[in-house]
Amino acid sequence: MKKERRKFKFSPLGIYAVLAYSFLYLPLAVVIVFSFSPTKSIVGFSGFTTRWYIKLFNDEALIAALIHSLQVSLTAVSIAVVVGTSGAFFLVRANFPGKQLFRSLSQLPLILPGIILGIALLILFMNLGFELSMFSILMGHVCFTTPVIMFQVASRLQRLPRSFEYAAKDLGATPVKIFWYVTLPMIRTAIIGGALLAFTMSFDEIIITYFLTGTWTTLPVFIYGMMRFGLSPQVFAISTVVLTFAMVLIVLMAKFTAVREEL
Amino acid sequence: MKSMKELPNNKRGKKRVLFDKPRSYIMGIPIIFWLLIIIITPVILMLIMSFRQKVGYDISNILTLSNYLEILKKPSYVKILLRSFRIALIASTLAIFASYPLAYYISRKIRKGRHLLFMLIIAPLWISYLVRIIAWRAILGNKGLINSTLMALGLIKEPLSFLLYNQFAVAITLTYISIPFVFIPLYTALEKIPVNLIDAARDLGANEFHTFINVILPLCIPGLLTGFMLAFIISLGDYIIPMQLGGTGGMMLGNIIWSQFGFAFNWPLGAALGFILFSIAAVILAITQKFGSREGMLYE
Amino acid sequence: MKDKESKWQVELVEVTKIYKDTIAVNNCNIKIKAGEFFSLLGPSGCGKTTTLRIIAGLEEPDEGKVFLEGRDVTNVPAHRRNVNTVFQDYAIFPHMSVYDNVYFPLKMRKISKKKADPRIKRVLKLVNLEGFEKRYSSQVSGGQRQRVASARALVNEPRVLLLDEPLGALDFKLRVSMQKVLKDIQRNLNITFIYVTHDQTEAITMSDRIAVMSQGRIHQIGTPDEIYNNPATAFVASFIGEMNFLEGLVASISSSDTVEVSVSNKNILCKNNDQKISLNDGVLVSIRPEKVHVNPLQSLKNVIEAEISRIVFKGNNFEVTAKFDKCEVRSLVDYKVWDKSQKVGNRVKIGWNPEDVQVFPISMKKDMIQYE
Repeated sequence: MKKERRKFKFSPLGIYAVLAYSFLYLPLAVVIVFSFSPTKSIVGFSGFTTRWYIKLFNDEALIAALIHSLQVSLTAVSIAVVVGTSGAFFLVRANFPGKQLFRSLSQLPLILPGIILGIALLILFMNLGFELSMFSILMGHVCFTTPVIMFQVASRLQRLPRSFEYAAKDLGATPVKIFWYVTLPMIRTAIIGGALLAFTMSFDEIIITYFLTGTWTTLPVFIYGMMRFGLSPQVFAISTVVLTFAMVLIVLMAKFTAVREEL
Repeated sequence: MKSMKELPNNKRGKKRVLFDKPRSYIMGIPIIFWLLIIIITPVILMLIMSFRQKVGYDISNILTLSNYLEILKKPSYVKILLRSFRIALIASTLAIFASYPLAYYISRKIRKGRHLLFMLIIAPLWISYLVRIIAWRAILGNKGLINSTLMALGLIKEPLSFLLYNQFAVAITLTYISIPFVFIPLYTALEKIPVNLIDAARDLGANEFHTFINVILPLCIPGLLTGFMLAFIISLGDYIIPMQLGGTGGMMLGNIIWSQFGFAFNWPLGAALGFILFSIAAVILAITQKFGSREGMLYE
Repeated sequence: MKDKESKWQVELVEVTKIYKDTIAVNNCNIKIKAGEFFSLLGPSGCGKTTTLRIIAGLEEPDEGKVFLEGRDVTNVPAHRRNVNTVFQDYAIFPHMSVYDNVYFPLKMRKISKKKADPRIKRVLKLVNLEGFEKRYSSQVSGGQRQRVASARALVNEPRVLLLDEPLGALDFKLRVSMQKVLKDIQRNLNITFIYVTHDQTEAITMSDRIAVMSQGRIHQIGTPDEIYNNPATAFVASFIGEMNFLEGLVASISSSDTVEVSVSNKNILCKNNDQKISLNDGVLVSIRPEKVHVNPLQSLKNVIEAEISRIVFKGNNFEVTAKFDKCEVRSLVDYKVWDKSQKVGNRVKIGWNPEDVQVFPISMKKDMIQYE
């Protein structure tokens, strides 16, 4: 007497879930659709055009901003990897008083509203006499990318059994070799995952960057500038590009976290 | 593990740990530098700046509380501060109500594909903050999705202008931005509830509703708190969303702060406002640390 | 829900449960009487916990029916069945005090705290946890948590109590004392206990009847005596207690109750225990070590010459291993009886009676517990 097993996805919760996901993604869909529309409004979808994308490619200032973004983000993440990874070791392995305070302070860039960081860094640069340029933006980005990587690596490091390292030492490896051949490979995915995450955050960053920008702009700042004159279709086009790029990064990141779970 | 620490080839003949203390401390040098230069010093400088005063185009070196007093006395500032609180409260609450059923559904009702569904909710976090704001302007604007659709259907003749450039638009956009932040700690908390507790509740006579009220809800309160606090802080301090979607009626704390560093050019006042925001955030974070859950504060 | 006239309090009829590609519970039929201490015994993964959960209503069987006191409860969810479970890891609600934990089932029945209080106090006294009311699960020891779980499951005065390896996490002395407590509660309150365990000593000492399970199937249901002395399958014979196994071929089947089996050219007379065997079939012959006599004084129907290969002192007896041809037989000899001058290598006679021997088809060998 077999029983029928049917998964009722039509329960009220299930329906709500579908609605919620639609709500989450509808705005993005709107942006994408608008980017292909020859006119500004979506009504009477009068045609499909890639005109705006072509315009983007010809916009030198935009391309420059894009390159600037890549420069800043790559540099910031590189610095963050070094500082963050070593910081993770410090956090997990060293014994010192005030660890909780250290933890909380390091988390601040991730939790405080960006505007506070923007103001604080701006004042710092004023006091140091720096002009706002790539360097100021870079510092701003290093500020929040470092903890992202540090905590990712720290959490992986904490779960790592030390027996591997002890075994390596027992077999005659020097500390440097142990770090390079044993520890590092095992935290590699955390570093890469953190770096990807940090890169995405940095590439997209506007809140702090807007405070620290002079004439040298990044892509988000540039887009924000475009928004001043109302929402032209070009804005939608570049938004769609950014969106797609972010999606690709997310898929990459998802692959990394999935692999991590198997370890 | 004690025997593991007694390693061979030990020249000094003393018991040593694998990573000698000096070595792991050296690892801490870059991060301490980072902490000092990029976090501690700027905040202190901001604090100091808040005690200075704008004199003409300069900033005087005399330390005074005048900025803070000015903020507390000016009714328009207080009004905007309160409004910011209100909007942030509404946005956070809405985000909780929106996320909770979702988190409950995925953590309790779905077996396969949970990770994917989870990522799908988190994904917007990384799909550009700015793009999402642009999207909402496109939805609420005069020529946006809602108005265009309604006009095309013939339901209205003129676009509804009350959708954009006010508190409503700000609140709904803030809610939208907050949802992933609320979802993470909430989902984690729900997932962590051991299945055997649910089994025990059912076994002892609790139906789904009673199990929820008596077992699940109390156990996920720390996660709820963390999510709420996170969303609140984010919403309170935002300046781009009010600037883009708030118009004059939707001005928030972020707007005033921004203008002090823009055309109003009163850095000390801006610093003071910033420090007030910082203090509020710090207090809320301290409360969250104590009563909230451990997870969710980090992007895991 | 049809009402059945039934003298059985708990009945499982052809219950089957499948997970992905494994059959967790395979066509199980169980009948339990009111007031019985009934155990589900078997190695890990045999399906006993799943079976218990099906009775509790925490799992739905894919096939078959469950009856409680004559009522078909197969489709009745757990919270509406009148059975309560003591879970293996206790499942104490961490956010509630001991008192509130025990109050919980009564709260679900909408009984006010005032009315519930005497019942709660009474059951806490029963498990010796008076004074612990205000504590939380993090403030009590493992053994105490076990008792909270038991108290919570008993406060409703269920007619049937399900216990899923409740004593597994306790250390030996504590376990033994809790066995006594549980057995006393069961008898004094006349509750039916359905008890899951992998510990055969526990099952044998506490149960009225035992169901021995392996890989989702029930191999035998019987009293401890029946299980021990009349195992129905090679698995049961190998799982319960110590057992010698010899392989041979059926030489002859007499019309009375003996079977003659040829093992290494020696003919052994065995009890015909109604297995499906015919002439020349391969079979397993099983004898308990304590039934093997070395240099027996009385006359036995099976006597074989063998050589001592090992002598192990076990406190109140000796385990003597004797070899003949390629077969090894272990014998358990009482301390007082054993001739301590015997040495390894000595030739001795070993013997046993046919009533103490069981025969099983050789096909059952793969189901046996193997501890290589």
